[in-house]
Amino acid sequence: MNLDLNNDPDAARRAADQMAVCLARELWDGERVFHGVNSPLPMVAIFLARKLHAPHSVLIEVAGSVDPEPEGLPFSTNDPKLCEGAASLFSNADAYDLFSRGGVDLLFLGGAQIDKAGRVNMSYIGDPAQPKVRLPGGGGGSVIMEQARRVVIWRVVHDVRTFVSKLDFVTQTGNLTRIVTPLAVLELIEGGLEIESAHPGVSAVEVAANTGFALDASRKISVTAPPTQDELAALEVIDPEGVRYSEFSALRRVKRWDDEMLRW
Amino acid sequence: MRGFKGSDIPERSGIQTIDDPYTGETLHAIPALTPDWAIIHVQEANIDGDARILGPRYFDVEMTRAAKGVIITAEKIVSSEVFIEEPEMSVVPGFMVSAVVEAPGGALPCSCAHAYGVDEDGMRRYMELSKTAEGLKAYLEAEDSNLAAGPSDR
Amino acid sequence: MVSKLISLQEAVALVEDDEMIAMGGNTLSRTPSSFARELVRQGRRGLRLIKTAGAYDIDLLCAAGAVAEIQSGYIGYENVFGMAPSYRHGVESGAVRVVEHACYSVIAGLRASSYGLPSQPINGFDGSDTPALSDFRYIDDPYTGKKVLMIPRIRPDWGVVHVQHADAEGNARIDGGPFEDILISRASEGLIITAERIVETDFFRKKPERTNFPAFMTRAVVHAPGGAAPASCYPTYDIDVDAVAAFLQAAKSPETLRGHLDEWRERDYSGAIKAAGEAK
Repeated sequence: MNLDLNNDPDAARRAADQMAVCLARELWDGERVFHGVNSPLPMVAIFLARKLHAPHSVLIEVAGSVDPEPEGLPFSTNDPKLCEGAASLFSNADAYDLFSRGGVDLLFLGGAQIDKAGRVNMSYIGDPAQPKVRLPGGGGGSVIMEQARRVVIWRVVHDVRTFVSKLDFVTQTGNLTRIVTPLAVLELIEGGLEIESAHPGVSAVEVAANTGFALDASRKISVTAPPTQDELAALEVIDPEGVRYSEFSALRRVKRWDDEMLRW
Repeated sequence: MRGFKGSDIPERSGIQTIDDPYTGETLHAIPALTPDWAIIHVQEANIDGDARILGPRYFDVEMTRAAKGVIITAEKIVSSEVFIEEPEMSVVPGFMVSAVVEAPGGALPCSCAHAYGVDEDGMRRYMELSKTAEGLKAYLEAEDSNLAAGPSDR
Repeated sequence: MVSKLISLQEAVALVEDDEMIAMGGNTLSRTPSSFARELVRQGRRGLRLIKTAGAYDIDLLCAAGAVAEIQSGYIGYENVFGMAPSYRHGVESGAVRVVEHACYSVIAGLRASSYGLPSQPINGFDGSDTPALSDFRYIDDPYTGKKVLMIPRIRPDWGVVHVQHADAEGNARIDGGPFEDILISRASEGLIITAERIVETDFFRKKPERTNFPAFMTRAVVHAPGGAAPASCYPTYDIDVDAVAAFLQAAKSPETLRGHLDEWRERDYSGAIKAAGEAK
């Protein structure tokens, strides 16, 4: 399935749309939400949610504003375009201070390696003193993951290198509720991460085969509600350039140097 | 923080010290001050609660970040478009604000930058009347009737 | 009225090997890119870089072998270009030392410096391996007895910030998201401002609320039109995607890297170097 996503534009598009709506559904109206750099799907999802069911949510932008109303969405989620239409700017320090005093409801984070307990590695593969791979770093995550009331992780790759039984390094841990991938939605319950739903056309067996830690095979797994016509129409309006697709190598405009090999 | 050298204030105010874990230096640790309310008077706000301060800010911005709730009193309520034109001028974003009050002259008899200076007669009146409970009551009633007639229709 | 306006070359010449530099801006937004290029041209070594989230500027300095250490929350090009290859290679080869941070601990370290203190308390890092790795230490809060994490101060020798407007005295103003630039100016020993436009001081007098950097804090001002490119500088130019792609190619060898620097030389040196009213 993952190979298909790398080479099959249609499958990648469907996965991206599914993920965008799953993430959007996480935001409740009136909540305060934040996304960081390198977060195209969450950014699109937040604007989708604000258009559909969460118009009174408060978006605190890593780009440095509150409640911007840009025309179209940029590819960089740190783009100054994300300050357009805002009545107030708000520095990152101001945003982190707000997290620190418990003022943010929903946070979207990435995760390069994730374990059964929902802990995340964004720092090193191998020994930190002599790493096999130096990852970009967790950004704000190791502080804010435990401060946001709810954290949702998204990851465009669902494989055994991502979902591992043991992390090489614990960058961050905190109030994780769900993880959204191209295959499934996972939820964090008392015993650890389990599959909540598999996306249409994806079997539970396939999800388990791509997950490197044990899952409860007896668990009843539902089918993720696919995108509705309204959701798809709204996506086209807010994201006409397809920023939501930019995380999938089969759909990228510019070839990335590491497209062939996020291998370690 | 540093400071208070040779002062009686730390003992009087119950301010404790810590030893910095990197240098061993002894420093004052000030306990968190978390007001239930920060009340700040600004020159411009919109109905969403976004607020601008023209001129000096004193500690107003810090207070809004420290308090559980923020109330803005403003000389003028302006349109959101004014804020969107120049969002860099906002010092408090509306989502932090519980209430906005249109209060022209709301700093009197104190000054308000870009609006008015200290009202010396008003200050003298207060100083005189506030010496007694009756005087204070009369002062407040007189000030009430001096207020502009209600908030404008926005 | 003292003019602090100097050329890019002179400003970079202020920075010595092994010094600690905080770079303003964030990922590919309003970063002091021409300053980074000139640091490489002048052959700086051993630099210790401070950044909350960085991309081209950091990656370029790593490609040139100019970096000894980095303290940051995130280094990468986001979704458009992925990981920062020269940064990765620098760290994986052992050439570049990393002090692991979250963006907020970099902020805490800078705040400690801006307050003249040796460290600064923050919440966070519960269950993370980072404090142990980075030797972040705890104290007991004297009021509650709870353990509190203290981040050691980060005091850069230089803060370098790219802005839209500055005057020759050193007043400077940012349009759009400020990131951590103001904090950088308060935390650093010396502040260098590179600016798209040099204007008269009256520009700042008319609206002092918008002055983010008062002149007395600024060591040097450089007129640097296009000084953030290939990063964006609101509202004048967007990320130059082709140029970033070209750099990533050029970074693969020292010869091609030199070519990249030569290609940008004329643009980087195109600023006015005399303080004469509205220089263009």
